[in-house]
Amino acid sequence: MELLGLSLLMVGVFVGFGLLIGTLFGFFGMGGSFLVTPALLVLGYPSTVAVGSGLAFVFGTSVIGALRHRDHGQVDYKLAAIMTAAMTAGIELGKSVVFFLEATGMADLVINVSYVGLLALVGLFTLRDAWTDESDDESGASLDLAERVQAIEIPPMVTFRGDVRVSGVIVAAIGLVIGVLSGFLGVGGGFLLMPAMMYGLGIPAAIAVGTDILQITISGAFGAFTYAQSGAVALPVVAFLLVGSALAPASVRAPRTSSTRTRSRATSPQCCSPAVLPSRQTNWGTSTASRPSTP
Amino acid sequence: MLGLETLSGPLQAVGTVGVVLAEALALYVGYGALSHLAQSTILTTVRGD
Repeated sequence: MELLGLSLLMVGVFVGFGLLIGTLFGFFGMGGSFLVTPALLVLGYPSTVAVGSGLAFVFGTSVIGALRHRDHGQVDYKLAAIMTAAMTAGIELGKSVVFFLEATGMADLVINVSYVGLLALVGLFTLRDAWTDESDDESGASLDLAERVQAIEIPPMVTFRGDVRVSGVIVAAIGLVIGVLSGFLGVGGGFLLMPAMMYGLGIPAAIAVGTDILQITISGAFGAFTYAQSGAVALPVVAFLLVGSALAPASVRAPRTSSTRTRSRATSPQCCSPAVLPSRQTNWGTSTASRPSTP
Repeated sequence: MLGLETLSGPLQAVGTVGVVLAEALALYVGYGALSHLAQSTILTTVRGD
């Protein structure tokens, strides 16, 4: 028996996986595509389909998250607008890189190596942050970084909620880089955007969470749209992942408001992510629209 | 799925994003109603009203 072209076993796997990701999202404020994309690669889906489906899943799950957080008033729309514009351009650029690499036959290798490198970098950053937490107080290195960034006077200077004044150019540059990574790796950008806003710009954590989710919703929609134009979204997979993700307890999705500088929590899961598992996927070469037979 | 494959690129993309959005909204509303109902039932059971 099949549902939407997937065996019942795979339906169960995707719903269960979605539940796991939804729970992680609630705890850590991330979309979870950094787990979905490599998982689909391991299951044998083409690189473009894995990335496109990851972005579509991020869009869906962040819509639910944004709806659940909207009443808390923890969104800086100005910051979200700048980040969205910059990330949109970045996603388009990242997508072009993926399709170019696929044409040259190096997409899997480069994407997998990039995943490992990026997650290792974030993991090392987290370890360093945790080490600083143990030996330092709130005046640690990350606070110094935000203060240094805020001291750079490149017009136009923009004031965000929480009385944070930063150069709009720097905010846009950060958004562009995260957008490229989002389009290139199929990640929603949450696990990069959150620490970037908190540590890099000095945005209070509660506002960073709300803005992050809104921004991910918009950029996820755009990312899914660009990949869907090439038929590179496995809709049945996304549908069952969303069913599982939405099942995650609402209690773990509550926004964190108790601390203005939640430090390690925003990045810690990358340390144990299965995304670092090597991909065995080999059949990505010809079609962006095809989906392999159910494993 | 849902005949989206037969559409041209942009229309297929709009359809795909629309389907995901519709599912997300349905899940939000559905699970919200379900949890509200379950919450009321559980509270009533626990309190013994």
